[in-house]
Amino acid sequence: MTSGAGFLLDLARCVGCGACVLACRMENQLPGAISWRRILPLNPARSPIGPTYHLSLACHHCEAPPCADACPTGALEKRPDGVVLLHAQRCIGCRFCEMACPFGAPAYDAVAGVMTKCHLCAPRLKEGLEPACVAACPTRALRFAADGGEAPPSFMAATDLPGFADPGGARPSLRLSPPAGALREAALEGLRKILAGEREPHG
Amino acid sequence: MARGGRAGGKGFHEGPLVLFTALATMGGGVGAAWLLGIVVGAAGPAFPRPAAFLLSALFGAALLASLGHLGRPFRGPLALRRLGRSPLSREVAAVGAVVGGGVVAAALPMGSPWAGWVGGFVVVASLAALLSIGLVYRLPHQFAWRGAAVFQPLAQGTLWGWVALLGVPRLAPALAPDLVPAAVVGILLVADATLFLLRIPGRRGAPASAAATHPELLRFRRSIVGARLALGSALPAALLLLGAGGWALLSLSLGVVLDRLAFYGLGLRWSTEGEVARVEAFL
Repeated sequence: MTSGAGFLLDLARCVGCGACVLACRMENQLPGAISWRRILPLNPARSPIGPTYHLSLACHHCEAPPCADACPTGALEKRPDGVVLLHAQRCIGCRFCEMACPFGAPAYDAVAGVMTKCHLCAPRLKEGLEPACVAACPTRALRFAADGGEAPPSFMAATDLPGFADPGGARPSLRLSPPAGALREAALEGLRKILAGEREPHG
Repeated sequence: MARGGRAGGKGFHEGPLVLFTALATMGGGVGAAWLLGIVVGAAGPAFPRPAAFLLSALFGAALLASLGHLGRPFRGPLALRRLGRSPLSREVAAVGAVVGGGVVAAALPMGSPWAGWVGGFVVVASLAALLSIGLVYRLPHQFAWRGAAVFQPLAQGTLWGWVALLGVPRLAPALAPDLVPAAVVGILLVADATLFLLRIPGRRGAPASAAATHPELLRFRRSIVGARLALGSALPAALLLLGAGGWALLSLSLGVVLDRLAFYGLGLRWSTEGEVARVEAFL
């Protein structure tokens, strides 16, 4: 699969250790109240019907980023390499991108009065390094696909899995490995059918 | 119902926006109501100077209030950079145009040949501002801020402006109240209340993946909606029937503020946290 730059997350490998969150905070020197990456546990109560997963999430660097469309000043830019970059010097702190992003990616820095967001560690990419969160992942659950790079065939668009609807047609670049094994695949298919019968955001 | 998750728990930062949109709704309503007056044959094309003063003051105050929401207010003019793409840019431009037009209309000498043109500009800009207030938040993942509800500020603003022009004779001495059909106020009241109710989905009617923008305010949903309908619709209707136009205007003003509080405070949006909770519900 070839696409713009973005993250790959192997659900079977992520143990929710939080190293990616910490690495992101340290690399970007984020103040206490701001975090560009978060971990969402799925089925933390360990219901025996389904497995427990950990979703390590940051900005999805969407193909059609609603944050950039909404921004009145042009502070948000979708670069040709796929990175959605925030130019802080153009930001007026109106927080409209925060309202426009369905995935909760932009974070407001109340001290600086501007928005902040994941930039895929653009300075590190320039030096040929991986983003800090990817480099810190001890299980290689979190990976990085460069612009035009190939993702392993086991990965699929996140929005093809339940839990990652794309209500605004933003086409997030995040790719996930679906649950492996016959039983898990059957459970996933069942879940898909049940959820498809419900009212969807556009419904 | 899904948990609030990341969408909530950040404090009510939209306070200045409540004030901005409330003042702009009232100011835009004065212009829209004047257009309605022309349509029903109760007003001429030249915008009356006292009404132009009120409109300019309301929009000017609205613009100042909006600066309170910006992290970098001195960069505010940058918001006009993306007029062609960003709905927020268009809203700022429309509000700015009304302020400019209103100031010119208020400053024109009596009997100026330009009065009609300037008045027309103010009326058109007022309509654009009222529409833009509704359209700016029409986001696909926001469940409460789309559909016919985007026309609600237009209906509510026109109602407020109409009651202001009729209830305060000094605002529009050229208006001929005896030519005004009484049904107009009734239609506006019903349209406004209906569009408001369309905008406030019941918790049971919301999609399972919906998360409250402000879970802390959602607990007061019934009180907020009830107060908005009482002060913004029922009480003004009763006061107008009793001939108390001034009190009706005061009640409507409080209703506009409550309406905007309900708009931002009772928002429901799709979120990854909500979607994950929806999946968990089946495990």
